[in-house]
Amino acid sequence: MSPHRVVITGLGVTAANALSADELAQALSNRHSGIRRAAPFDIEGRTYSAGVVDLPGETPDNGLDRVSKLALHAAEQALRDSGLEAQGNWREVAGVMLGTSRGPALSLEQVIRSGGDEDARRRHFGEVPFSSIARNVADQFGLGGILSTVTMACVSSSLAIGRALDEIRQGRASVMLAGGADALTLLSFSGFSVLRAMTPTVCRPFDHRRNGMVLGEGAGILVLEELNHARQRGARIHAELCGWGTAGDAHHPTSPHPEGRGLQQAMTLALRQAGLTTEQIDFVNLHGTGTPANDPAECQALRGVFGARAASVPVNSLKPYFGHTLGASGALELIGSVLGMARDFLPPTLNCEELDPKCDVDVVRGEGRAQRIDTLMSTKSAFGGANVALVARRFPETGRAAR
Amino acid sequence: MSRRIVISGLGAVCPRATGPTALWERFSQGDAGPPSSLAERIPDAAFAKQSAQLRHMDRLGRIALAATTLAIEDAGPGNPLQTGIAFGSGYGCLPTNAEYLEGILERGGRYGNPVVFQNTVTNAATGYISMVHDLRGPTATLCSGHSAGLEALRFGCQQIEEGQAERMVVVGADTLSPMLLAGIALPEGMRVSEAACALVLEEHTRALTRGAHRHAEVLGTGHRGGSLTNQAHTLARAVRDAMHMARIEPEQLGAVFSCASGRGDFDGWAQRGLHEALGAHAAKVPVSCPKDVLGETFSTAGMLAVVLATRALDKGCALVTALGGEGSTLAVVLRGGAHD
Repeated sequence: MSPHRVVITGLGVTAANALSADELAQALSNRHSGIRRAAPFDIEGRTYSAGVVDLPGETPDNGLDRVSKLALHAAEQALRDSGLEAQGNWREVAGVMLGTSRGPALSLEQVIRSGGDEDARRRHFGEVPFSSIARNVADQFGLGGILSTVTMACVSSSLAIGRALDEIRQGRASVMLAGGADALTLLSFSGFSVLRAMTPTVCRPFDHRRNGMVLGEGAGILVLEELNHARQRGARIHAELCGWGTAGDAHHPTSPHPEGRGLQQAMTLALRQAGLTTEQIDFVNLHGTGTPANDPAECQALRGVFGARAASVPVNSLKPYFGHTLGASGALELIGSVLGMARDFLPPTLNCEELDPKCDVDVVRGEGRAQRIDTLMSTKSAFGGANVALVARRFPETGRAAR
Repeated sequence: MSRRIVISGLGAVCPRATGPTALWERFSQGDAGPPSSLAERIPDAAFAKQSAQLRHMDRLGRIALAATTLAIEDAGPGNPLQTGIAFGSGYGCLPTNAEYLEGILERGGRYGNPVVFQNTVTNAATGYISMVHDLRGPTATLCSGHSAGLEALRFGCQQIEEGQAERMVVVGADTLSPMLLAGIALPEGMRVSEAACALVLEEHTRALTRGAHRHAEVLGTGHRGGSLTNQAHTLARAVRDAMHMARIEPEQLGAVFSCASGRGDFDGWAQRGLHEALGAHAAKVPVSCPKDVLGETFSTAGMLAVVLATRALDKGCALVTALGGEGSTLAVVLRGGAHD
């Protein structure tokens, strides 16, 4: 039996520059960044910029960790966008697969700050496990399908999306909410500051002056649906998700393999599952953190897989728009790329002005590029040498799918 | 399943049992007396021989590596590029995150320990294990509560089914820390324990071709989520999914390794879920509860039950269950390894 086809029918966004998919599309075309010079955590003398989300109507103390609030906002947007809410009995079978890197680290901080106050400790601890985010989303919307949490640092949501794709491909689910969320936390600010991974100035992916990343917070959640399920209910289809791959570098705890060894394998596996060749990939959304080590390794991986075509396939990084949202980045940046594909527009890599010779690939810069693309790849890499590549393509029947 | 998948390597590290044989002996003999503590940790000697270059690993990574090494030694060598790793941990790196946070809350954010920080992602363990054993295939780290170990097993099967890897190393591990023990609402007198467990999954014909020992075959898996107040029904659906994938009827199950833990709520769900899924056969099939002997080992419990099932099985089928505690449930159906 051939695998089921999987389409994206809902997009949900919580980011520093957008609180819905439409706002994100607008922000990308206007080159609007949500990065601010007022980070919530100053690490004693070092001040950093960050992508901070202003969540509308946020209730400060409903017991949920901030990361769950970010996820719930994106999930609500995604479900609304999908049109599922108004339709039949889908909740019992709809699954939730979410990724996070830091998870509810703010609640963990509260647990530690509670000291000997046992009541406070127990109250905050309920939110502390990583799995609380997916559970809160499933509870809020009454979803009874597969429930899963991925924690894979910066590839968390990409991995969650890939896994959800397989569940539907293999006929074990028909609707999945997949993506991820991460909040700004003291844990991240301190740790990346100590590692000197954050820029004191501006995040400039692929620029020879780049000197680090800017952290952000947010959530990206997609509704993934089996094609016939989507067609039968007349859903609007944003794109088809057609392949993914994951692979480890087996090289270093925190640094990428200099030739992007694991990333090359992840890209190769994704192309194989999608049944596509590099010639058929029109655009690649890279991780592009703006750290000295990441960007050249990614470009090297691109050369390794795409060969001579690596010089001409357009690539970008979306990190300068909303910061490095860690576990949410894969989902948010896939959503941004799918939105670009639907609008025949490749968003530029903000702040990349003087291309590093080590990154001499076709980085989309300046005003962006009006260009039709039919297939795209989105790649992410993480601590622990983890890499994920996702492949999506324009769905042939754009707009309302034929019944 | 679209491809037949067998278990060709076993590794387990628990207090008072290192290796599958010791685990089986401890389980089959039962506990001779009360444990020295209600919260048992793995003795450091179980991973003391690990290379000095791994001194930066945290405890979670160390115990997971110890179990993985046993499983890979048991399975024999494989192709690095075609071998992946799936790691499931209920609480993951939370003890390490707490250690890092306690340090900076005391000394200030500038004075975080970079060595500790690199372990504040749960996949640091996965990364280290990949480096040690040169695993360059698919990689995943899952933290879906106490069912994360069996979920990693399901993911491993899916990657082999999809042709993304020839073999997958599947690992489950959880450590204990004062922060966790203070936070988890454990009933009075309940025993908890650290544990790590690893399996090597492999496509059946490849295992056959290279003459590997086949401990058992994975016939089916089921994974469901649902309301925290209705986990019996959620478990029943996962069990039905696993049996449907395995293409077996309840009467073909010769044994059940249940996730019952001595907690009243969990045990009620586990029992009612089995009855809902298996019908009249639930009252006839022998049900073992490994946690009665091994204590609550969180995400590792389901994996340890798989190891025990491979020892108990001859040619029959067994069901292993896990309740995540956060709403997820997993079920796995195994068959004795003698079938070709």
